[in-house]
Amino acid sequence: MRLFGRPALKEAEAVVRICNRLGMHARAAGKFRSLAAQYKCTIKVIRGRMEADAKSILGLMALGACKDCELLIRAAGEDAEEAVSALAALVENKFGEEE
Amino acid sequence: MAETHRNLILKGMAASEGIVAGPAFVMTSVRLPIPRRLLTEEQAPEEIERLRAALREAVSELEEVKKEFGDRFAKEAFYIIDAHSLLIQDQALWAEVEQKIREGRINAEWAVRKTIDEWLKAFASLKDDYLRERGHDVELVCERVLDKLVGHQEKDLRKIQEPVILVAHDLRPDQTAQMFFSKVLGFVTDTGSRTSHTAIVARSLEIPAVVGLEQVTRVVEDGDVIILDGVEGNVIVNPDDDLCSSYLQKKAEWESVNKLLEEYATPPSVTQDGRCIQLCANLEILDEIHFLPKYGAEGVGLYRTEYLYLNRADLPNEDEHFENYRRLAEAVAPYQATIRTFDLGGDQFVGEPRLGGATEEINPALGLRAIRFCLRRPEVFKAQLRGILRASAYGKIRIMFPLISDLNEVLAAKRMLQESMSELDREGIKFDPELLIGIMIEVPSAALLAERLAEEVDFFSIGTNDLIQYVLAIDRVNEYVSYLYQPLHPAVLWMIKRTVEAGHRAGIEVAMCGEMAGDPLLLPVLIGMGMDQLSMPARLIPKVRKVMRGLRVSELTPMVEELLKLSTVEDIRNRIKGLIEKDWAEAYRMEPGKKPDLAGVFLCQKSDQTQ
Repeated sequence: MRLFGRPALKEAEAVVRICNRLGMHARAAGKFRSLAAQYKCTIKVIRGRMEADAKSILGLMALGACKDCELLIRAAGEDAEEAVSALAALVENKFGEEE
Repeated sequence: MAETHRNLILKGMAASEGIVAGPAFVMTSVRLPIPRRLLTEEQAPEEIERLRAALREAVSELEEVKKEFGDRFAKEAFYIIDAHSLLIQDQALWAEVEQKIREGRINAEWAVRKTIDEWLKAFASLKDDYLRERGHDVELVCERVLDKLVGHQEKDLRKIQEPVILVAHDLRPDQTAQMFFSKVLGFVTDTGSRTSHTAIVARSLEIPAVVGLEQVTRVVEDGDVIILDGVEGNVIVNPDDDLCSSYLQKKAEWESVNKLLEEYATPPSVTQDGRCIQLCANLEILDEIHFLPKYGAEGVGLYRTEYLYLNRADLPNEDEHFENYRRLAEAVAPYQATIRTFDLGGDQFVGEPRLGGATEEINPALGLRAIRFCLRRPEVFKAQLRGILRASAYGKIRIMFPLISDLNEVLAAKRMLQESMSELDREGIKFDPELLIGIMIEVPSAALLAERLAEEVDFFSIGTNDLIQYVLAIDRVNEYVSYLYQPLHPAVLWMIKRTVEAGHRAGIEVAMCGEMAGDPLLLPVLIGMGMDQLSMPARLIPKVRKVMRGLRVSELTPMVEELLKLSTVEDIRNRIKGLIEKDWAEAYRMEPGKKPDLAGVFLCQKSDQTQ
């Protein structure tokens, strides 16, 4: 429903499990950030009580997301759904790493 | 300049092999103090511009290094540099610093420092070891920018075109990499360990290095002459002529042997008359497995799992065990890896709260350790057993129990393994049901009972370090009795012979994984006794392989019979040495025809330098 001609804020989220061996290390965080940057929505990554901006490599690394950790990816904005599904796929593909 | 130190020997850790000498080039390690200034509102934009300029400079430098090195690097070295370049370009990080400048009205250096410190706190609290250590990378990256801000002109290591030995407090991996293009002969640092990133890069680029010297930057001054012994992990400051020439000789020997041994870095490991004996590597740190092919290791004969337990607050869980062993199994293919279950306790774990119970034992070598500890703490043992079993679905691995002294221990350990197998079966988790089970023979009672034990297992592996200590009742680390530690003691040889015979009668393989296995002097005895596999530090493999190819089993079997008739260590040793000189000189010869050219890389005397 449109209110005063503005589109309602779209939101999307997904829970993913880290499955590469080294977890969210620098290069993995770098890929995550680059992908996140292609979307207009704001994206947060949440682990327990910690929260990071998906566009901050350091923030992502400091989540300490090791193998088998669960992360919640939450996006808000026009392309939120696309962003969340793309980022979840990246995590599930081990950030393109072999192990 | 007064020579404050003469012939001073500093002990560190050998991070990357090689022996070099030359004048010291000390990198100022003292960080310039961080200036702190409060800004007016008008100054803030200028300060932000200054930060951005420094950042641009730092980024372009790092990018240049990355570009230049990209394809010349070993993969692991390149990844480390790549990670640094990603971090330095993290816009969110610098936005934070800019915000501090703008809103906190503080100068750029101060803002950077404050930001790093906040992030470091976040990293320090992480539980995962690997990710926690990445905090160090963040710090190194930020310091690069700080150096630009305070105008600290970092020496471009590529520009060092004099043959020097770099002396530094710490080095970043990318700095280590830059040395590849310089005339730097090697480097020594106060900090670091064999497993730090800098050491890994040094090894992959073959730059000799000694790390963890603690105070080398305080002791050494520019222009002091240094010998860097990256084989033993020593640094000699201002050596006299005698030390210089003895090291020059050591270097010559080391280099010529290395050259010669390159030819022996590939299997097969076979005697002149056709007996194959597998030469495997002992492995402590999983990452080092990438170096095994360089020496032609035919698998891992002893994987020490203790490192999984060290440097952490809790005990590894089943998944961590599994992950580690799965990587081992995959990396070792097409060969096989032998995983020894937890072998700590005693002196290595004094006051270890995680393990509870006996913390201060009067006689730790005879105390609650290895299999004894595991059987007493089934939950700790189970996690490891299940991890090993799960990994067995991913490659060729076998399991080995240490410090067995009695049949009951074998049965108890096997029962627990069997239980774990049934559990996994019920849970529908894959494992290799044919997993080979072996035991270490390192307690005299096990050697004496070898016939009985052989009926229960698939292989033996003789652990000579402990076996000798227990057979001869010698504390190896006690300097007053260490002279009695003798691998060629007739009683030790009898124990080994007994074990091999019992194993072979039962049709099982007998391996050896102690220090004895890598000693060329003992090789004729071990081959003569019929050993099936020898496992040693990987770098020793080519030498052992060379000697092996020059020996004949048909001569060694009768020789062992002869040796066992002798009564003393001296007689046995002299007999072997005599045979080496007389019959096997060719097998033991370690010089290649041509002496390597050493001039110019061993600048030991002060007069050698042009300054």
